[in-house]
Amino acid sequence: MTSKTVLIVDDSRLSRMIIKALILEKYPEWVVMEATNADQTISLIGKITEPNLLTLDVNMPGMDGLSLVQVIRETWGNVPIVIMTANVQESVSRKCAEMNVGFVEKPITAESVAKALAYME
Amino acid sequence: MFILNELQQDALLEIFNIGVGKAAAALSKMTSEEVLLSVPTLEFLEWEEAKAHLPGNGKVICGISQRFDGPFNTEAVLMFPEEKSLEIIRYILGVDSTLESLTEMEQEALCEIGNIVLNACMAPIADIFSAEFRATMPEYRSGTSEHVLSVDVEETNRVIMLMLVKLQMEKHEIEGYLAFLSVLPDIQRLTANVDRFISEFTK
Repeated sequence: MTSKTVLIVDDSRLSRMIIKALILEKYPEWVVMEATNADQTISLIGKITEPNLLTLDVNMPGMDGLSLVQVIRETWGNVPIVIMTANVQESVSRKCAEMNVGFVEKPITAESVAKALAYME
Repeated sequence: MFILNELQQDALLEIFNIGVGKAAAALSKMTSEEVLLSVPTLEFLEWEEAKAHLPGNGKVICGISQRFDGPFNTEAVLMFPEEKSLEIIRYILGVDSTLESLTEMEQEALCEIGNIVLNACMAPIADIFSAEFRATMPEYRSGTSEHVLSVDVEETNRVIMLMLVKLQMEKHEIEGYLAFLSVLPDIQRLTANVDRFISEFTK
């Protein structure tokens, strides 16, 4: 597989660490970038080239992950986005489906990360 | 004062977040309404100090409390303002009543709702720690948040861990809370479990 770039957006440092470690364990040549909230993500949008995948948490201080999807889409219209969240309500998974973004439940495991990466295909 | 490092605090909040997400899903299913969750707050305080941080502004609230003993011990409480508790319970039960306080049957039903929501919260936490919690029977309490979230008198001079998550149901204009209270040495046992969890990913 050619090298890919993944942007992880999560306010939890541990969650970012685990997702990053699990991706790099399988694909050491990939580039994994991190943002801790929506503001940081929005400021990255103008500075970096479009990643191959974004993983977003829902429950973050400031703008939530679902609102952030709409902002990201204004610039990166077709980038695959996966919501990785502990908020497993049907209403959240339904909104994800409506916005055409993936939905993966926390806790983060090798299986859940593999499921998230599959949204790039 | 008990202090966690940044990574321990982050991991603890994330672990409870997973539980709270499951609890919200259970509540959402029962009420047919989306439950908006706040970012949880976590504080280590002495009880006298903690009283000032409790929600409710001194108003009467209803709470369903359960003690969970396992990899660590905690008192988990689901609470709502009294009049909103009536609304939730009557909506879920599909009964129409003008009584201004909960009947015995409604209190029992609220206990069962609390039992479902609180166990939905604690089950994934047990899984993360590869352990099991034993839960007491759910207990209905009514009063100020200080009363509903009471700790043993003997423990009032000890440091407690207070974690709070706000739950909002917009359609019914209901705002409630999930609260978790632990005292030393349970906090130290919880921290040891969190450290083990972190070490699995930072080897």
